Amino acid sequence: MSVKSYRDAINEALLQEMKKDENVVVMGEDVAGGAGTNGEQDAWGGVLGVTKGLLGHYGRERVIDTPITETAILGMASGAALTGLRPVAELMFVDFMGVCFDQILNQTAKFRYMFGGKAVTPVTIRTMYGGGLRAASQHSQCLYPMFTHVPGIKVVVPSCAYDAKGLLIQSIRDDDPVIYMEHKNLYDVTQEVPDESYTIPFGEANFTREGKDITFIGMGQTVGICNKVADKLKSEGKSATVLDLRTLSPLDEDSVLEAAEETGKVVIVDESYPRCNMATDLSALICQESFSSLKAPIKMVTPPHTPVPFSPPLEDLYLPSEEKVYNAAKEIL
Amino acid sequence: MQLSREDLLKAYKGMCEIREFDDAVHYEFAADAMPGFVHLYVGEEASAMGICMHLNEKDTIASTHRGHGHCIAKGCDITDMMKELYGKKDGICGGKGGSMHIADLSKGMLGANGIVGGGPPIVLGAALTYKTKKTGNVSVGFFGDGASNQGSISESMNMATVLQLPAIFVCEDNGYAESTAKEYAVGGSILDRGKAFGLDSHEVDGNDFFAVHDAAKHVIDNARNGKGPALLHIKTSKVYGHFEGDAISYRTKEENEKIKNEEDPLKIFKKKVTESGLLELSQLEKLESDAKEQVKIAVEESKKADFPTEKDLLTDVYIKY
Amino acid sequence: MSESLIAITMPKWGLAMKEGAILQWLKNEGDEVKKGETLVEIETDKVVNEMESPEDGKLLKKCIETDIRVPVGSLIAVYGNESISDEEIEKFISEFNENFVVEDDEAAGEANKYEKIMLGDIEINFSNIGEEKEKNILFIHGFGGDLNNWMFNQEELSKDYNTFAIDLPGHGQSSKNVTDGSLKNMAKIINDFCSKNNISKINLVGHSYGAGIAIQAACDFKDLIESLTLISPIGLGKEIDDSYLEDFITSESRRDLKPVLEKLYANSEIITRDMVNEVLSYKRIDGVENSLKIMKDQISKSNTQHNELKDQLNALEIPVSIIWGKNDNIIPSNHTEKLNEKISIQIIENCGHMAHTEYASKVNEIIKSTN
Repeated sequence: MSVKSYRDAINEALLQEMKKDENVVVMGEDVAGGAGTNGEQDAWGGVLGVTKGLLGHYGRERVIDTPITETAILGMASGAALTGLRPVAELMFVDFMGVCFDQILNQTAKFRYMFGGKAVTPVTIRTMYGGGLRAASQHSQCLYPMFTHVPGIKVVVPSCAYDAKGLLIQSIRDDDPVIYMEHKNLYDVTQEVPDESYTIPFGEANFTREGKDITFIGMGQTVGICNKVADKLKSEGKSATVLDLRTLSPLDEDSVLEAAEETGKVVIVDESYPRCNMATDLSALICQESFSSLKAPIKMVTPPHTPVPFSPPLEDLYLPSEEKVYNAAKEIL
Repeated sequence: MQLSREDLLKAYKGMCEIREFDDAVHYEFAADAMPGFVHLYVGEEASAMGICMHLNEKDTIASTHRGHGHCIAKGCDITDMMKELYGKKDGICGGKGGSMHIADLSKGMLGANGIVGGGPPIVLGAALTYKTKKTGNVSVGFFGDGASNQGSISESMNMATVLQLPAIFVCEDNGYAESTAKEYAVGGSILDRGKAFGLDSHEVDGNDFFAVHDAAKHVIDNARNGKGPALLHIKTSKVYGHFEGDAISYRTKEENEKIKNEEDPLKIFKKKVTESGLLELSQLEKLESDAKEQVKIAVEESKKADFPTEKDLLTDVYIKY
Repeated sequence: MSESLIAITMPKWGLAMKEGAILQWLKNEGDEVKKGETLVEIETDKVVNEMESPEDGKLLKKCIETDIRVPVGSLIAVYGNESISDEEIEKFISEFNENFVVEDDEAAGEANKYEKIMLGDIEINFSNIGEEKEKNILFIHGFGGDLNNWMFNQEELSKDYNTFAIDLPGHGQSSKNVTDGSLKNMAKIINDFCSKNNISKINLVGHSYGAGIAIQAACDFKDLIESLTLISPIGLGKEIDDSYLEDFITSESRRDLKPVLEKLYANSEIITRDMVNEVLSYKRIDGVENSLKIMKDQISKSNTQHNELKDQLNALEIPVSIIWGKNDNIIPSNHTEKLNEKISIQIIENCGHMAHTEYASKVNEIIKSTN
């Protein structure tokens, strides 16, 4: 056990799984960096350094720098998974899914079903998402609802370093295709993380706070916001339950309802666009299954229905914040 | 290259099975006995057989929406395929895929594909597996002249060259993307596109089984031996339209007749092997009637077979969820 | 500062505890409180438990509201006698708070955090509190447990003893390799641990499987072991609830594991989601499931224990105390029958398999009296 960042936890998971299983290969744009140059090899280790150092251990045969060609990357990863490798492909920013969504929507996610249950596609697609880095509309989106919408793929949104490692190892070992989404703002968040390999099963949401006055439901980056607001409310004498969904598909519906029923007051914090997102989906679930336990309207804290702005003051206004979540809570407390 | 009598019989057998299969589908579909929509391979048989005869069970192919021929050539069971077209529970994909998604991974058939240009990116992955594990296998991705304009094809050819993968790209150019002519929709040349990405690229007469067989041998042997990817631009023609029910009004009567009479790969094959004395006419006719009988049985069995039931509705989405 | 006033502070239950909140007062201002009586119910990140009064006295003033989190060591109540004026109490409180310093995690916290030691190729994680004391105590947890099981005992006993608590191989943060998991091999680990720490005499406190290990160690290393305190030990009878061990191993989710852990306690409300999560994160480490299976095979099969330690225990010439919850669902408390009369036996009412958690003060008193 030692203190590790979210970034290091992901890196360690990759290293350990590559060591354990020689079928695990990593591929993507600049996952090592420096391919074909006369300069430094492993120059980048991923655009934010998440895969740094893998090249030194496993060489270019298993740490594959690709051209900037997202369709071919995802197609190659899925085809390799279908034929015996266990690839971890990196889609640098989830926004780039725009040029290669077919590979997930119509290919990878559907192989097993279309082929009558005979296909096994153990591919993991790692991708970076989320706002806060002043990266503007094409590098800041929070697109997990799009994947959650598609049957046949699993969607993982780790909120902390401990979960990042355990969920990534589970993703790699899982025989179904997984999209594993890393929030850019979380890379430097640290936590005690076991040095050993471990897994966290999919479909088990995590209660990060327990309380009796109000329930926050978060996912990925928004879990940290919920925790902070819960702690602030605690100092004001109100106790809050916080549920971290951990995986959006499969979704731990039981825990969502358990969390909602625990307090009867629910605030869902979701960084994705407000129409047809996780917040609306969870609200519908809670209303349908636990309506009688609700003591107040469900609050959804999401961005407005606009692209992610570039200008810092605008982006700050756009994103869910502690203040917005706190205010939403106060409205129903 | 001289083929053995055994190989010649095998080639003709395969082409007959493809022909009879899709002719039967043509008839059954018109009789409204089959759900969904289907795209037939009649007229292009030499391509599938000429290529797949070089492949073993561990080699893989990815096919197109016009995929029945590739499936049969790669060894998929004809009755199971037919049951799939009827949407039956014992179909090759349990009735979950249908015509456009026939796959049999145990035979190295990675799936027909309903998305134009869908196969080649998958082939990259199979080829990467063979390269990584040093198995000496190859993977072949079929696509059409229409798909040649998709970015997925360009990306795949480039990636295959960059990583020097044992991947073969086969463009089956039947002259039409749906109702649109290649002359209208393809800028420049398909062959030159392959060359531009650094692939060993060849244009092949797709109506001539022997031409396909020779060209395929060359590129597949090279790929197995680590000499990298290749493109075969196979010029062929389809007898039926884009899908069943297509009146093919965009083609002239003369053109249709020419395709049937002068460009039929089975007729061309038959003429060649009998005139050169390689095979007896009676041997070939026996293969034709055997195939007809085999397909007839497949249709009968498929019609009798059971549909999937409600308990099949939720299965096969995930391995564990 | 008035000497007749006594400060009651937020206890520290385990190394990880930094804060706690009072869920409920079980005494009112003005009540006479006896040492050992339950005073308040306290909630930490890990656990909800009752805090027993550390002293006799009259509860003069409650110093914090319920549900407010305060650091460990914060003043929560003041005891004293009636003659003391409100002004004096207020002065006492304000002086306490002025002098109160929150323990610095980086300095004090880290200093007495876990240590590691290599015994051959096995790494053992342990905590050592009370180094300056003369007499040594070593706590050995049970099957699937870890050194944090002693959170209500180690800190408290460290006031009088040099206390060690270890993670057995296959547990906590120790190596997950358990060799054959036998009591013999585990007892040897205890001996090696003591040698490596230059301990020549030690009192063992063991729970369940750990108590079996303690008995084995006392038999195999007579010069080392000075006394035994055994809590619901294995090895003194045939019966055991195998399904607990099996379900503990196979439960993969919070929902499955919670009812399994509830079997451990007479009052199952003590089980929080965090406690379940901690056990799950341990179980999810590569190799743990296999280690647990190996150890389980050493303990029992078909509800019958493999180890028979009663004769060996009766033959020991050192002080031995046995503590058993009357409502132990895992191993029945009637296993205390037919023991040597020199052995002190304490059966605790309304208590399950985890007496050291459920009745910590009582257990701590017994440990002290055994040594």
